[in-house]
Amino acid sequence: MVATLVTFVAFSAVAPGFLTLGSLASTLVLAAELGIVAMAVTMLMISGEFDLSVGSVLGLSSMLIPYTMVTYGWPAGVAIVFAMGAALLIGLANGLIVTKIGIPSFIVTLGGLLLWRGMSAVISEGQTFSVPYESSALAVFSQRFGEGFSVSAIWFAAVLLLLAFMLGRTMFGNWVFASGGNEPAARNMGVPVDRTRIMLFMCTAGAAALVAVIQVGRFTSVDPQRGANLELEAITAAVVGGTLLTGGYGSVIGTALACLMLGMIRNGLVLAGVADYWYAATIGLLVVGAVVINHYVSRAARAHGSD
Amino acid sequence: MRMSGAGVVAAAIAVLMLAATGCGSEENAGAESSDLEFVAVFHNPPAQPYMAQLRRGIEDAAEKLGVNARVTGPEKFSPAKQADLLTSAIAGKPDGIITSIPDPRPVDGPLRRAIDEGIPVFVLDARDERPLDERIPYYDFVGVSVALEGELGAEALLKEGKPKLAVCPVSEAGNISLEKTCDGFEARMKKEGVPVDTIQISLGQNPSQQAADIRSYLNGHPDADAIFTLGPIDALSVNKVLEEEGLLDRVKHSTVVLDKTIVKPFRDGEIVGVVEPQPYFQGFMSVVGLYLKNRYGFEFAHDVFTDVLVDASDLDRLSKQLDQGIR
Repeated sequence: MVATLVTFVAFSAVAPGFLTLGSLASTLVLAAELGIVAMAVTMLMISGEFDLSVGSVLGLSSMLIPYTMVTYGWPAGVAIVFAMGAALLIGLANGLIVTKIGIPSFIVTLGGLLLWRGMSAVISEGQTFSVPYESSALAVFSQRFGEGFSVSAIWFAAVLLLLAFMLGRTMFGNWVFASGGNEPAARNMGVPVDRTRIMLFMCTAGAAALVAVIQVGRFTSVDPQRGANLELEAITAAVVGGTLLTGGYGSVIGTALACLMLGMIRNGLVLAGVADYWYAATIGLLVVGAVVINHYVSRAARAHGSD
Repeated sequence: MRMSGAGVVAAAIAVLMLAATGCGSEENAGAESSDLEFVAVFHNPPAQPYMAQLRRGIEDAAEKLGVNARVTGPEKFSPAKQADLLTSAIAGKPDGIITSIPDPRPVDGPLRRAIDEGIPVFVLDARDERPLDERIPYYDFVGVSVALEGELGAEALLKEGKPKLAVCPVSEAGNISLEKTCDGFEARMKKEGVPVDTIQISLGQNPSQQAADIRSYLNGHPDADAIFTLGPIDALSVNKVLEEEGLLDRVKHSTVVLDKTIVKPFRDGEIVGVVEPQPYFQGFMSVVGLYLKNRYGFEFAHDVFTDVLVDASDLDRLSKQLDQGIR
């Protein structure tokens, strides 16, 4: 929260135009799309697993919408449901392979990253696909209003409220923390660790598909590289937001604030006339800083607990 | 014997006619041709839309001429990885290498080694832009002149009137060819006294981020009234921002590479000109060039540039080619 406020104040001072409504809308669009995926990834990381395939799942889901509309003449609504269904099946497959066969999620989803990116290229034969007509079904996900604000912000808020409620106020949230905090103890206490994780894998894939629909609705075309590197940005946002890489601790609100901060940095650097290269460098510093702070905070918490 | 660029085209047509009709010495050449093995190594993923057109041209020509052609490239823009792939390809002793040179330094060693070993190297898309005496002595080049590409992009905008401030957004940091395209754009604009900003934007794989970069720049630079984008993905992001901000009338926009996604804004006049490098043609010609070299020992004298500036009046013809998948 403090870091997000400091970023806001700093760019307000040095970046001309940062405080305009248009600029804030830009920041919110960036934060919303990254945030929807990053918050789902945060839940999965809290449960002790990773999903490196979210960017490729976003790419494949994006491609399936115009591809099925153009190739099979499907209505946009059907194409959207199909793309989301495909993403959920991928999430289910990831979850089953990780929990039932016992292969580390890092490996399974790394394979998925390559497989689904490759499938996007196979389906499209490397070409860009566009939705053939304007669709009200797609507009539901990407309509703009006011000074450049997008419905994606409302989806972001809805996902934030839903996940924050699930994590903080439900039995499922307890299972998520228990699965990542101490898995053997959780199993002994009857926590359905496998089922929890499978649902979270489906949640990350579903979130990627939601952002896919938002982007297709706005830009109407998709190329096979869509979504590349999203997985790293999502993990970055989760870590900067305070989620431990080791699992068992984290917050979707922290991740949402981190996404807002990353959006402000992205937007503010452009407005301040700073070269694009500095964005990556700044994010790198933030990640290392966040991990160091998390390390000391968790050590202090352990010391406090043993007193 | 050395040939001019026009000679290459004429020879290519002749070769294709011979191949298609089965005339001349092709009866004997058939078996030999099928043994020919060419390897294409790109600097970008072959699945990227522009590269896919190069690939399609290569594969179609290979099929028509009865030769084998394999296409490969890194998972993302990487001349260094391209150099590794070239090294692997050369180890297989193919009858020809087809490649692009957006940055000559990493590929200099492997390509010179291939040439020393007698493997002809045909360059497409981006050539070694260094002076002739420093340049890799490749067999021939068919592709874009980055400076010309930038100049043509500027010409399209200048036809609409003299801009106050022109912008050239680059989304692939480190791609020297793109930066030089912007240099060509800037040189032409500066002749007319128009200042140019070359800015870095995000990659098109996240179009929202790319659009946000452009939008932030335009908000901070209200004088900017001309944009030259370096590909259809970037063009679509810019077009979307101009549309959302209500700037389509005030900010003129030209771009490079025509694909189906920008046909509508181009037809509607939202994009005033497209510099079309004809990647399918480049890919096709590279195979023809290597075929001629292997079969008949032809030599070429000049680089062949494929950039043409098209306007919306060309769209009917171009749309047919887009539907055929050859543009």
